[in-house]
Amino acid sequence: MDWNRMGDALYDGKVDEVAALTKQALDKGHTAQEVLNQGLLMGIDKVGKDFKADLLFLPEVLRSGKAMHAGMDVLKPLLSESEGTALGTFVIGTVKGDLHDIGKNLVGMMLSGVGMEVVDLGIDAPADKFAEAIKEHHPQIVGMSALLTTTMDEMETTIQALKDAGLRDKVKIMVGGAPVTQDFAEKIGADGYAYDAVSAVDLARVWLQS
Amino acid sequence: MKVVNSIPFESPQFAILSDTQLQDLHLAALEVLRRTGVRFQHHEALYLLKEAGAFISDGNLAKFPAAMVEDAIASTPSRIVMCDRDGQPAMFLQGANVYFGTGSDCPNIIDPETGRHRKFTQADLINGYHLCDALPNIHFLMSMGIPDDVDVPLQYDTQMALMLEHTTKPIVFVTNDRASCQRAIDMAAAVAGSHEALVEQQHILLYSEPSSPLQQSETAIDKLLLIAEYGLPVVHSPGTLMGGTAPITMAGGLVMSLTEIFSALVVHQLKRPGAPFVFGAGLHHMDMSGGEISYGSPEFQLTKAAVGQLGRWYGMPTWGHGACSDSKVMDEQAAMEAMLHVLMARLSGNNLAHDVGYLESGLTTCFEMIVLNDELVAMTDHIMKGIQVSEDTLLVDELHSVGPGGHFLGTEETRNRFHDFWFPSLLDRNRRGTWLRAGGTTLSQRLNVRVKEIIKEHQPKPLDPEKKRKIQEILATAA
Repeated sequence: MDWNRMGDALYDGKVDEVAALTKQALDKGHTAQEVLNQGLLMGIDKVGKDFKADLLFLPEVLRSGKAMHAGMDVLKPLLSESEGTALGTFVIGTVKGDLHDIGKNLVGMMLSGVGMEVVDLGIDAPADKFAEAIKEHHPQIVGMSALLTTTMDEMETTIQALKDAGLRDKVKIMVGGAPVTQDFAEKIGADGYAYDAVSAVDLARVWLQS
Repeated sequence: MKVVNSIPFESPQFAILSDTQLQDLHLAALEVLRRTGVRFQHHEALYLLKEAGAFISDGNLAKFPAAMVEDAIASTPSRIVMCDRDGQPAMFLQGANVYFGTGSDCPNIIDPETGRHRKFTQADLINGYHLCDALPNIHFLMSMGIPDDVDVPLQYDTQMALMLEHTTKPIVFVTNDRASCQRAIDMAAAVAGSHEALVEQQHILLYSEPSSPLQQSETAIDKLLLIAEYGLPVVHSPGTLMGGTAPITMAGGLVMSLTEIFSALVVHQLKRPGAPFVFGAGLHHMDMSGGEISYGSPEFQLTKAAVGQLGRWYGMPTWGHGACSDSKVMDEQAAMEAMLHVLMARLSGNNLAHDVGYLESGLTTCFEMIVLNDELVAMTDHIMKGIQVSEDTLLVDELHSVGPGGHFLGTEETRNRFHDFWFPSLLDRNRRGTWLRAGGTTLSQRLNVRVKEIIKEHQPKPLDPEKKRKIQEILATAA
């Protein structure tokens, strides 16, 4: 199998080609795990590195993320649950009262782009929606987003609700959004603050490795 | 979705004068040429003018019938193609194309290492030429500085020799007199291979000036006639001072400029019909608080736009100004006046926008301003491109497939087209944290870093040693 070709297609964000090459690799007798590790993850790793080195821009990374997804869709049925979410699960949502989601979407796409399983709760997500998602998907991390200063406080309410439901200690909580700061994160009892999409991915990786 | 019966209107539409205003300025200049006339301190010019039907009185005052002027305008070519040192076309001076270049002959420089204001040296000239050679949006060079460490009679010859050696870009040159103009031409011909090759692939353009108001000096006309003889291009640009050496209104300043330009053009075209000539004028006004010459005034922008428009109306290549300022240092004033100059030059379509890097009424060159001009040209490129409205860009299908509440972050269209938007190289758009981590620098600091990097790293294409030797031989005859 020409893993370089698959890596290149992924790097160039060629969604259909990555899906086709993934199928081809399986047809040639490679295991799903091999295709994941040697093809998709190798490719997406280069994307991540080049983005950090300012060689790639956001839309390129996100398109590569989509291509990664197309490959994963082919592999998923063949991977065991633990293998398929090897990098971990991340529940993400914009808190109640806030309808802004472009930043949250960006973070979600970057996370899934590096191979994480992302459960997106969308916008205007109340505390109980976060609680249900934790029960259902067993994420390692929960991310909350807010753009408005008027909705920031909803993050604290959500954390309190998770405490009340006995779920707070099952997850790490990351917060972000334009008005959110490190101080605010600490004040409301979150585990971490992500300054931007890249640092969200970095922080998630650190947490998942520890 | 189909767009039908459409006439695209993609780039900014800009004009400062109506057709009637253009006409009125032209007619007023013809009247001044007929009634008041222009003094020529030049025997050959007076002879040529008299032979062709001008009225000569009071020894050297020439008055012009309208037909003579309009014949000269008609015989001037509508375009000049300037070539690089290798003879490749580099600038098409025509229509509303805008090219940027430095100014000439500042006595002072802001030292990029120390930030101090001091005299220009030969080493600064070389650094400046390397800098301009490296910057993609600096298209031509003028000398920038007068080297204080060179004997006065050799200063212009030295500039020419160094420009020819240290950049491949087209050169606009200033020179003392007929003899030094001849040496400049000879040096450029040595580089081109022959005088014939230089004329065919025009690499140099002479800058000269009338002596406002309404006088043409002996040396200026000497050079003008010499360059016409060769068929090399020239801009004979009044540097008028409204309220001082010109009437106090912009219209009056323009009329006087037209008078001076056309009186010279008539002589120029009589010497060699069809010789290339750039239509130019710099209409400053005297800042009456202290009598300074302003380069940063809004009126200077208006007259620059008028010069661009008038030149196109006459069907001649045009002259103008790039990023220059009245400020004394690379500060906020310098940056805002730079932006105004670059944008107005783009809108006005001045073919040769010079004086990039001038501070303090052209007394000081600032390398940081030249780098800023380069960035602003890149930025305004994207303004001049305008908005493309076509089936290909309406993206109705894209909007439909993403739909309400979706996003466009990872779509193929976004990935393929985001590069169409401009990315700055020196302006900072980061969030505060990112900016702080990168040093938290101001634009002026980043400009300075870039200047020093380029000077340290850039090596222009070397000039053939044999040609360099020939230049030195010609230079030796100047002493």
